Amino acid sequence: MNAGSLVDIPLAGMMVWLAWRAQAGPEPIGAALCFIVLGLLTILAWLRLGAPDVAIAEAAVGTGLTGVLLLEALAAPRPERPGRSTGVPAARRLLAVAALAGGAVLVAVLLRLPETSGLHAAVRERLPATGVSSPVTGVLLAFRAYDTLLEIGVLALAVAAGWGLAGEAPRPRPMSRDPVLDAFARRIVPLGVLVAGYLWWAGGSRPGGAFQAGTVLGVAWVILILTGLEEGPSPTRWHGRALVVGGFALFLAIGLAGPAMAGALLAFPSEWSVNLILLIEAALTISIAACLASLVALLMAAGEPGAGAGG
Amino acid sequence: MADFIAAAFILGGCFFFLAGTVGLLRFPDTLSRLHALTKADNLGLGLVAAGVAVHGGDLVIALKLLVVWVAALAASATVALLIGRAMVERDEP
Amino acid sequence: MEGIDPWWAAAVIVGAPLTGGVLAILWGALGHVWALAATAAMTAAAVVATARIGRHGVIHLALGGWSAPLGIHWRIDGLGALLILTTALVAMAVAWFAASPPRRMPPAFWPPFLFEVAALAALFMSWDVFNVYVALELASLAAVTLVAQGHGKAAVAAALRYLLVALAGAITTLLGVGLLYAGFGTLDLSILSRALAGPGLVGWLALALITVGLAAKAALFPLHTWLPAAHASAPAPGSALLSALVVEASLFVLLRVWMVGFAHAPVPGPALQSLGLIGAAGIVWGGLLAMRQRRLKLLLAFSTLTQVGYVVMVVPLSADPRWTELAWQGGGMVLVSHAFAKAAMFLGAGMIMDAAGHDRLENIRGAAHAMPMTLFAFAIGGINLIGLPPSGGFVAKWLLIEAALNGGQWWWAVPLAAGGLFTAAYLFRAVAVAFSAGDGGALAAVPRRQEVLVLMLALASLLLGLFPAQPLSVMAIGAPTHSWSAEP
Repeated sequence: MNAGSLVDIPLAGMMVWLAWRAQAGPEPIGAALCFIVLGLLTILAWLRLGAPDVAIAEAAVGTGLTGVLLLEALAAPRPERPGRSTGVPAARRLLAVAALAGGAVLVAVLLRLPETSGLHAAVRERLPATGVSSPVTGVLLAFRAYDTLLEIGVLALAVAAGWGLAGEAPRPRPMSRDPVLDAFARRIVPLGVLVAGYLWWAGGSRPGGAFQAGTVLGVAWVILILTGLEEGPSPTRWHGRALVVGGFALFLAIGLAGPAMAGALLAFPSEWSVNLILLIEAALTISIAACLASLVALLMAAGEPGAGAGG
Repeated sequence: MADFIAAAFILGGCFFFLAGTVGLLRFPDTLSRLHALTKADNLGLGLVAAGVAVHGGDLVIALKLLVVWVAALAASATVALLIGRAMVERDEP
Repeated sequence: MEGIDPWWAAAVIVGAPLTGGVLAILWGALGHVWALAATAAMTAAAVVATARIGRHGVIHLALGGWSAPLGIHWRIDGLGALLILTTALVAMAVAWFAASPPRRMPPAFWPPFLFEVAALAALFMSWDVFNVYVALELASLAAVTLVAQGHGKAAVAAALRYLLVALAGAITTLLGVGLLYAGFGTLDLSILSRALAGPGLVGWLALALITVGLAAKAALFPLHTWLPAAHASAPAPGSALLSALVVEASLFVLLRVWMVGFAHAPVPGPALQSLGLIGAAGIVWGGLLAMRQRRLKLLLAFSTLTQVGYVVMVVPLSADPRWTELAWQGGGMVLVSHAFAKAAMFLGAGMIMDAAGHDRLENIRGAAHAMPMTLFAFAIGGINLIGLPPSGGFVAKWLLIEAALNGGQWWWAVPLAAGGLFTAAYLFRAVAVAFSAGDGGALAAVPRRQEVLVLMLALASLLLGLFPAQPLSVMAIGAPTHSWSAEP
């Protein structure tokens, strides 16, 4: 029992309690709020676990954007569903018991795990070859760049799928324009862009990188959408589609040039490695922001009365 | 000495957070809850930020914390105004 | 071909459909052009890769030049190469079918289609358990999108249900993958395989979690309930891809985890037998439910459950190391021939739907007179699913039953043989209705190009049965070997 445990144990307990509350309550709004608070505590948990990169991403995506999405979904008019009870207590109880038993087995296994350092030593040894000094960036953009490429593909496809399903969706409904909100957005958004740029640049040497920068930039964009100052990337305009898919396209193109340039797919010539990584990260930052803004815009449009099957 | 000042600031900040939270839970209507939250929590955050800045002992860190605090102030003021206006428009107490 | 760097083949196999997907998002109106070009390039690369494997053995590539355990490896073995070739050929046929006027698929169809094809190729090559998870995510998202593009609210509901099952499966799989990394410090299948010689509680729990997660994605009994509605709701080209290949990719990964990842673990006999029981239950249950269907596409969707059951049988039938290769070849033959046959049948069903405006079995009387080529192709596909000679399905069933009998597990021969009877019962009913006398003139005309494509897919599944020697010898290249101590 050290000083850290005094923080960790209540934190863990509160997270479990909030997770339970987030699905046990009858009211969707209460569940959503519990989920958002759970996200806030998750940020602290990542910090306590020494993973600031994940904490930043969690703060921007898990709490910021997910919160917007949840509240937006709650604000959308819901069809009445009479005659359907909100839960099946017996089945739920059974599931809860199963989940608890599974969790107990998992904890038992985890406690018995040997202390391994995983691949830390290998990452440290090979990191200089990538040209970057942040191990997380090294893993994401060099050692396991292929995973990252596919994940960015997932994001771009999610937006393309949403566009395809929404069809000729109405434009997202802006909040009623408000001078105070406008003034706030006009000041906070440039700050967000600045922070995103910093996070992108910082990714080469310390916590940060395309995912964190992209989500911060995306949140800034979402603020502009919410205040009605800007729209999301437009599926009907060429540049809207290019913003969403550009990061993936550039990453793929550089990766496919790998066999010719450096003898393997997704390999970078060593003298250009760090520049190529920063270039890819810059493109990814913009595309991730565009994808997140598009998803929020899609959801807002789907909440409009008379929207297509995009819900 | 610096640690002592930092601890004093942070504890003071925590007190205001506590007061704000109690207000949120105990005040009867939305507007007064809003009042408790924005006033007390902004002050609380400022004190905690000041404490951390003293503890960090670095001008750059202190400036970053100042930016964070100002951004939080702006956000909370805007949000409070929006909620308050929505309450007035809906004619809720 | 000798001089070609294997990197080029591998890069084109995954790179072509991904590039096509990007272009399809950017210039949607030309989606069909990108799809045809990408699948054609992929087919050429798959031929090169397969030929190279035939001469020089398994292709092993380290992505980015980072060797395992730090980096991600691709390993294309014989069966993997054949499945990539199958994916490329089926995808090319499906793309051509979907590009045929007057019923060309809309621009929104092509991005998920191409990303799906890329994800499948990635799955057949991946030798890294976390990368498998990522590729499965891409495959699932694309598949859900294809389902949601079907008609009406039922399609959206089926897609949402599919999405939830896929997410639950993904989280479960990821938990297993996380345990493997936490316990053994690596994600590479070869290194894991050695480390898992002594799996301990961590290893077994990971195997259980990954099996459950993949079973949900592969629609193994009893986690199959999402499949029929999803596969029947998608537009015909989507259904063809989903039923022929998407389910098979998860199955292939499942086989790899058991037979490569846990090849040196003392896998207990009861574990193998219970996997066999799951397969047998899928065969019987899928057959029984298919018999009760009154819509052609639903019937086909249920028949996929039977085929999935056959493939899972590979694991218990491999219990005796002497017959592992035979079981592996049998399972591989099911995968390849079912892919061609099921793609042909779903596309054929789509044509019947287009022509008749519905796919209710009782009302397609006389369809064979209006579209004889399509119904002929449908019947050939049926021969394959039933496992009648001279189809690839027959060879597959023969090999699996031989592995069962040789390995002293005669009881698994029973469901393997019975599955064919069930399949015959319901497919015969459908084909008999279509070939019976009736007013075929009420059907609208169908494009000749589509009829030819469906026939070619069906004939491919027949050719596998007529000339099985070469595909089977390729499948044996790099086939897993294990040292389970288990006795059946």
